[in-house]
Amino acid sequence: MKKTLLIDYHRCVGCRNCEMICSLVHEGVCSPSLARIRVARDERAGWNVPLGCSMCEKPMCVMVCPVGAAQRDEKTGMVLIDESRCIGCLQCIQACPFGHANFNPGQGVAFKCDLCGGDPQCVKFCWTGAITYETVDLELERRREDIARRTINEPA
Amino acid sequence: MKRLQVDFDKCTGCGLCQLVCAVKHDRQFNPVLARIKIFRYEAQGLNLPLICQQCAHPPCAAACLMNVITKDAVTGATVRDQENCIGCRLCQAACPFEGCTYDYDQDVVVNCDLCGGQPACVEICPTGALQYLEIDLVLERARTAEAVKWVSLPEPERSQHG
Amino acid sequence: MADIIIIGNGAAGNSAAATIRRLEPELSITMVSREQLPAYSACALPDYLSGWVKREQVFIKGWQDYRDMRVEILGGRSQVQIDTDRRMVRTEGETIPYGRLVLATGSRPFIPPVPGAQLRGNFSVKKIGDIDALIDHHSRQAVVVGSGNIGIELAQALHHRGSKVTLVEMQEQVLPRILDPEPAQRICKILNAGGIEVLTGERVVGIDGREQVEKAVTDQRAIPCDTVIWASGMKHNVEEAQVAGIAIGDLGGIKVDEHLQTSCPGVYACGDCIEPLDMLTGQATVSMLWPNAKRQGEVAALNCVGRPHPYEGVLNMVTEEVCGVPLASLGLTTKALPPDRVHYIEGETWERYWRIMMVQDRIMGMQSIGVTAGLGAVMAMIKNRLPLSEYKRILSDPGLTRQAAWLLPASQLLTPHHSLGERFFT
Repeated sequence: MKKTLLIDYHRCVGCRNCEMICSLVHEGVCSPSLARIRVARDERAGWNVPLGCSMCEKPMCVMVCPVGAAQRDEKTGMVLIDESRCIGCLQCIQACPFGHANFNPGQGVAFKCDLCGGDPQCVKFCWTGAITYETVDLELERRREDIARRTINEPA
Repeated sequence: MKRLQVDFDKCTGCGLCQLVCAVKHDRQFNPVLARIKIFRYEAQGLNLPLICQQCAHPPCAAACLMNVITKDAVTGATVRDQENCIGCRLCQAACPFEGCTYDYDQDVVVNCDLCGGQPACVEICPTGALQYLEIDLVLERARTAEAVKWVSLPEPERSQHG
Repeated sequence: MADIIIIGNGAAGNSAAATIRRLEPELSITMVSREQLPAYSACALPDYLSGWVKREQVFIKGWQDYRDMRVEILGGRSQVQIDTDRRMVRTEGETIPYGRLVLATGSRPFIPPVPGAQLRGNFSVKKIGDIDALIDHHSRQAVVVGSGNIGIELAQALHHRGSKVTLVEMQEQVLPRILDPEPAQRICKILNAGGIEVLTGERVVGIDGREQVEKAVTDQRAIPCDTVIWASGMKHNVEEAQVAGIAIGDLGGIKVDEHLQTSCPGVYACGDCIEPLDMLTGQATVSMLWPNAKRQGEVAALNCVGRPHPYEGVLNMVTEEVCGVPLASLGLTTKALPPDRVHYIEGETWERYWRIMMVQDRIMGMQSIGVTAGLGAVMAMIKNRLPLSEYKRILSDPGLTRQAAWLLPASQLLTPHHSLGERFFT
C-alpha cells in the first residue's frame, strides 16, 4: 500500500528542522529555499503548516509539464521531476494547488519531494511528530477509530 | 529573479498589452508583432495571454540552428542576437508557450525581453492580469493560500497517536 | 594528455564541449577538427548561398570563444586514428592520450556512383567551402538531385540567385523523409508556383559533358544544365571508429547504448555519426538534425564526466520555408507508424493545411503547411505522451484549462476543420 507523508500541523512548532535536513540531504547545504518541504507560517495568527508533496494520483505538475520531466511512476506512485530534462519554465510551480513544487534559481530547475527514496529524513528529524510517513490505510483506520470512540463516548 | 505572471481570470482580452508591446519594440500599433499573444476562446469565455516564460533551459535555445538564443546571466531573461537570426522558425515549433513571435518586418523571430526589467504590458494592463513578481513571492503566496485552507478547516477532535 | 578529446567541431562536438566546461571547469578538453575553421552552422549554408546572410554570419563561434572556453582546438586534421586499447588519438603531427573520448564525426553527402559525377560542375553541400565554390561557379541552369530539406533549400537559394532550377527526386514525392504523400503534393505545387520545376519518380542515371557538366540524364529524359547538386542523402562518418574496432549498427552509424556510450568503454558518440533510438518507436533510426545533435552532445558530455543520464531518444522537428510558406514536420511520418492502427486529424483553411498522426489515443506526428500557432503545444503533447482523452478532459474543465493555458493553441489543430472558402492549394 502506498505510503505518504502525513502532516498534523497542530503538532508543528515551526522549528523548521525538516527544511534544514531536507536541503542538507538533497543539496548539501542548509538552505530552506532549497528544501523540498516548506513550512508556511503566520506569526500573528500563530500557525505553522509544513507542506510536502501529496504524491497526487493525477498530479497537476505532470499534466502541465511541457517536456515530460515531471512523471508519475505508476508502480510506486511517486511523482518525480527529472532535473536533467527540466527546462525551468515554472509551469509546475504555478500549477501545484498545494504550492509544493519549488524552484532552484542557481541550477534553473524545478525540484520536488522524492520521499528520500522511501526513507524521508524530515520524518526522522521531526521531533514533535508533526510529520509522519505512513500508509494511507493506517491513517484511515485511525480516523475511523476516532469517530467510533467519539460516538461511543457521546451520550445518546 | 522576477517573472511575468499572468492571472487568466482577470484578463478581459482587451489587447492593450499587445499594442503597447508592438509600439514599444517595433514602433507600430500592430498586435501581430507583439511578443505577447492573446488566444481568445469565446465559446469558453477565456482570454489567455501567452508569453515567453523565460525558461531556465529554454527549448528554443536547444533547437536554435544558429545558437543565437542565450540566457542573460544577470536578469535571467532569454535573449536573442537578432543580427544573426536566420528566421527559420524552429524555435517557434520548439516553444510550448507560443513565446516566439515572427517579426515580419525584419524576418527574424523575437521573444519577450521583459522591457529590460520594466515590462510595458504590466504597466498598461488595466485589470492587473499581468504582474511582474519575484518568484519567491509567487511561491510564498501559493503556500500561504494552501496553509490558510488547512487552518480554516474545523478542528477534528482526535485521539492522540504516535 | 587531455582529459577529454572530442573529435568533431560541429553541433554535437561543441555542445558536448560547452556542457563539459559548464560542469567540470578543471578538465582539459582537446577538440580535433577536420576543417581549419571555427564552428559554423551547416543549416545556414543555403541562406548564405541565397545571399540572405553574409558569410561571416554563418559562423557561430570565433577562435576567441575556444580560448575563452579553454578548449584546445586542433584544426585541419583529416587523418585521425583512434587506439582504444592504449587510449590514444593519433593525428597528423601529434599523439595524444585521453581519459575519455567523444566522437562527433558527423556525416557527409552521399553521391551515388553514376558516370560523370566527377565532372566539373558537380557539387554536394555540407561544408562552407562547398558554398564558396558554388557561388564562384555562377550557375545558370541547375539540377538538384534529391528533395530532402537540403535539396529544397538549395533549390530555392539557387532560384533566388537567378538560375533555372530543376529538382529531381527518385521517390514519388518531395521531402520523403519528413512528409506524407498528401502534404508533399501541396509542397510540390508551391514549389512549381515559385518557379522551381519538380520531377518526382525519376532517377538520375548519369551526367553528360566533356569537361564540365552539360546534361543530367535521368531514366526518362536529359536535362540541360551547367550545375548538378547532389543532395540525395547523407552518410555517417564512421571510418575512424570502424578502424578502431568500435561496433557499427545495421543502419551504418556508430552503435550506442542508452547512455550514448559506444561498444568501447570510455568512448562516447553523438551527433550525425551515430544511430540513436527514436523517442516514440524505441527503434534505432537515422536522424541528422541539428537540435538532436546538440542534445546528444549534451547527454554524451553528462555521461562522459560521470553523471549517468539516459538519452531520451530523438524526436524529429523540422521547419522549412518553401517559397514564403512555413512548413513544419514534427515527430514521425505515416511510414514509420503501424498502418492498421494509425488515424488522422486533418484540417484545411484557405491558407493552411495540417495533418496529425494518431496511434490509439496518442499523437505521433504532425505535418503542417502555413501553420504557425499551436506547433509548440503539439510538440509538447508528443513529448509528454499526453493522450487525446486527457487533453479533452483538460479543455472541458475551465480550472484545468487555466493551469495548462499553453495547451489551448493546439485545440484548433486538433479539431478537424475544412473551411468552405477559396482553396489556397489548388
